[in-house]
Amino acid sequence: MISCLIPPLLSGPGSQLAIAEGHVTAASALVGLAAAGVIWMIGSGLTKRALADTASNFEALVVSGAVALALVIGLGLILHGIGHLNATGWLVSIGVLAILTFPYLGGSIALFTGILCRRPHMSGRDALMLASAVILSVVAIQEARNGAFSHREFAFTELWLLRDGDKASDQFVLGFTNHERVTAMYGLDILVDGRLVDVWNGIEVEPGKSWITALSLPGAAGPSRRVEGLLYKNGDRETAYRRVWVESGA
Amino acid sequence: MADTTAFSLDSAGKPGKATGGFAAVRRPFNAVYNGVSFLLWRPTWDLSDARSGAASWGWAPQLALVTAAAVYVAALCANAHRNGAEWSKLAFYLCIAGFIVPVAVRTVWPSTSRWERIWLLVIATLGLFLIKIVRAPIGFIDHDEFLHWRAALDILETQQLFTHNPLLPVSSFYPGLEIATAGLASVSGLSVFAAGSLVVLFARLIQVCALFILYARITGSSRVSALGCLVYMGCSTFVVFNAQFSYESLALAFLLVAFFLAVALQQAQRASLGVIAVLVCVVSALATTHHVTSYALAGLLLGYAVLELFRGAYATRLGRALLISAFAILVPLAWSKIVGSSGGSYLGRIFEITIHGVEDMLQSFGGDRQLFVGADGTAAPVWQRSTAIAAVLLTCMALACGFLRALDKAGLKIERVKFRFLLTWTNSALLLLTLLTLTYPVSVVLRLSSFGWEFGNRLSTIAFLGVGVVVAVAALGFWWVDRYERLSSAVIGALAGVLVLGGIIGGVGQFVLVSPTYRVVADSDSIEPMGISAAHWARTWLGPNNTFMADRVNRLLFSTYGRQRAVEVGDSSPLLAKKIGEKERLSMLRSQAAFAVIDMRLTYELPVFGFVLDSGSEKAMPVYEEPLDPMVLLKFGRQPGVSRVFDNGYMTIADIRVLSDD
Repeated sequence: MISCLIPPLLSGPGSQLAIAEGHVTAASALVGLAAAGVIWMIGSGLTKRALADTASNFEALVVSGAVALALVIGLGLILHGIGHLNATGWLVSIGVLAILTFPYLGGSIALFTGILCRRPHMSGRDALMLASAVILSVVAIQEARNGAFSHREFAFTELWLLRDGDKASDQFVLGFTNHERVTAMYGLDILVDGRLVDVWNGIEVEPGKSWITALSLPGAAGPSRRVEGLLYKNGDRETAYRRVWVESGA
Repeated sequence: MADTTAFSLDSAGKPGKATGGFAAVRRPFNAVYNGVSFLLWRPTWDLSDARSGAASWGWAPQLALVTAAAVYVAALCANAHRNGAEWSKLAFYLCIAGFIVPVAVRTVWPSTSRWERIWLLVIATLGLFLIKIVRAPIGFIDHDEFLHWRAALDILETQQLFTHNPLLPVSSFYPGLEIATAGLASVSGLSVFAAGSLVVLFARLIQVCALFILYARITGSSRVSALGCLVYMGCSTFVVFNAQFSYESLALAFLLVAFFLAVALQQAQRASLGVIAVLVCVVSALATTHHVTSYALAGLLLGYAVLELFRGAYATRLGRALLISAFAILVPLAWSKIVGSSGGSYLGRIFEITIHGVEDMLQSFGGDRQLFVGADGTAAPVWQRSTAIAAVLLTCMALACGFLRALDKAGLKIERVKFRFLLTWTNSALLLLTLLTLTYPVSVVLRLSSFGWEFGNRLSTIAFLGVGVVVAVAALGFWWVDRYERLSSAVIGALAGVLVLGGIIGGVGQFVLVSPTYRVVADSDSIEPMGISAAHWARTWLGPNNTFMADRVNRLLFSTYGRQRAVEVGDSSPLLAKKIGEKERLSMLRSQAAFAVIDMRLTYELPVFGFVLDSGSEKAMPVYEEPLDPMVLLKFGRQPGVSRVFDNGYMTIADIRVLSDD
């Protein structure tokens, strides 16, 4: 029988909202930005060429955004078809597309420079105000994120009991995680068919931490056997705080 | 109409030079006639950009700073609301008005340049998107976002498209948004939330700018176009629903760009193969992104072609319009055939529910839905009701004042040839958008029914394409008074603010900020860390793709954070049965449900939406009039062989395989 304190998967329940399926680094963010930029360049190059006599620069710029998104969707469908819908597939296909459409990239440059050259003069004061607006927006989002992370309505402890292996196994895993926001003292009872077989007392667990143990209960897999775990908190042994069980039939 | 004694039309278009006045009453009813004509079609001031200044940044930098400051205060309000401050919701709305009103005031100012107006629109769009981010800054919280998040996760994990999405099966066949998001996420390492938000933001900027260039093509005025875009932001779906991580958010951008290209192609002297190629590209992308929006575009283009046909357009132009509309109809049909989409049945269900709602509404001579009151009895405060009603009344009033004026701008004329009346017009696109406003009252009426509400809400997205430009024509063509420029700008800016706030209230109302406390079956108000933690536990300790039975909110959490497979909504009915009988056993056998999420918080109060599982599955059931009986949820614990493998004091997870096995 082993028992251990393990760090939580995440630092707290609030932060689980923000779990990232990916891991962003400065380099990967730059690669993403570059890939998006190249796709837009390709889209704008093709659009400028296609709408040369029909649309103004601004109209072409707007349409080019939609064309870039359409190209991304088309590439995604192709990558699905050839079984390479992953980061490598995306980067290679964007690179190939950039090479294939290279003759049209001049249109993209013409489009962007056409807009930039015609932009009105911006004074230093205006530039400062725009920069301040960007910074204030970022601060606003960070403020909202901090508020959302720190908001937790429920204080709770998660208790679980699982059979380790198939239905015939007499190995179990029992654990609990403290999400009470304060350090708590726990006690545990293990019962088989209502008979007390093991007791723990004085398990101190910090907030966000888990306590997990493996149980070996020979004979617990027999017919109509029920393994039960009762968790007590802060020395109150009168009322079980949490209760889980595994029936042999399950 | 033949009487021209009152005001003359400004077809010549001199700025602010409406002529005439109320003439002497020449015959009985003339005064009434003149009054009505004054309100409905005369005069129409000049709408051109004649007074627009040279390209400059104007007030754009200052208003960008004002917008950012308003967003910052809105973030503080959102945090205060999480801590239970009651004033925070009103303050949050005032923050939105705090940047929309000045932007609108500056937009309608006659001397504002086109360049500045475009930037003002970009600022307003960014501001409203940031408001949405401030509302949900660390993860998805709205129902539909979870459906598409699951689809994007499937693409990232399986590196395949078209995998079955148990939350919304039809979404697997329209993966446009998820492709773009998964592509950005896999290349950059961003989370789906971050990558999806960036894609939606980009699509949103395209959407608003495309609407601007479309209106500008049709009306020839950047002033009308910019105000039309601001009015469009007053649509109930704009600020939250169409800014969600959901397929229509991207599809709308494609729709507007495609419609713009169709109009540009019609206006061109010669058919440009380049434009046609771009149009084909955009329409195809739309077909792979969202079914309803694809059909909406097909409808718009078909309507446009029909109007061009009756307008008597040149054969070549008519041919172009017909060809484009045929293509827009065929592509989504072909796509659904290729991928084997069940979109037809999905849409059929929506229409069926809507028709059911309309029938109910007609039978009850009103509507079965109590406006501004949730199914759990919580009512919206008076100021919210007043603003929403004011926005609807204002829109109706503006449509009444702008409808005939917009038709006039479309060049519509009634000509009498012998004993026949002939309708002629010059601008089919504007005529189409003006006629589209006739669907606005329908969308409002449908909101009176609890089953038609959803359809009405989505219909308003399309209706507002017309509402935007017609209201702008009314505001600038009739309400504007040249002698009082400052006052006119202020009034129109304030009215635009009312429209946008009313739209948000009509769309999300009490859900604009996340509730400080958990609420039963209230989507964004029910998503909180404890439920998420339980879903994470399932993923870590049970592994992914176990079959789960759960209520509406836990279905979302366990399918996304937990990576579990939720059973069909219909197969979740054993969850709400009083006992496990033969019918429930059959249902569990069919679904092979392995685990059930028992959330005892469902018994705390009435479900806010009136149902526990999903609207579709319980449509025949009465709305809950008292909270769910706890014994209903506790029944699994009494079943022999059922294990309780997880307990957090509020939620338990039951291993019910013994009930689902043969």
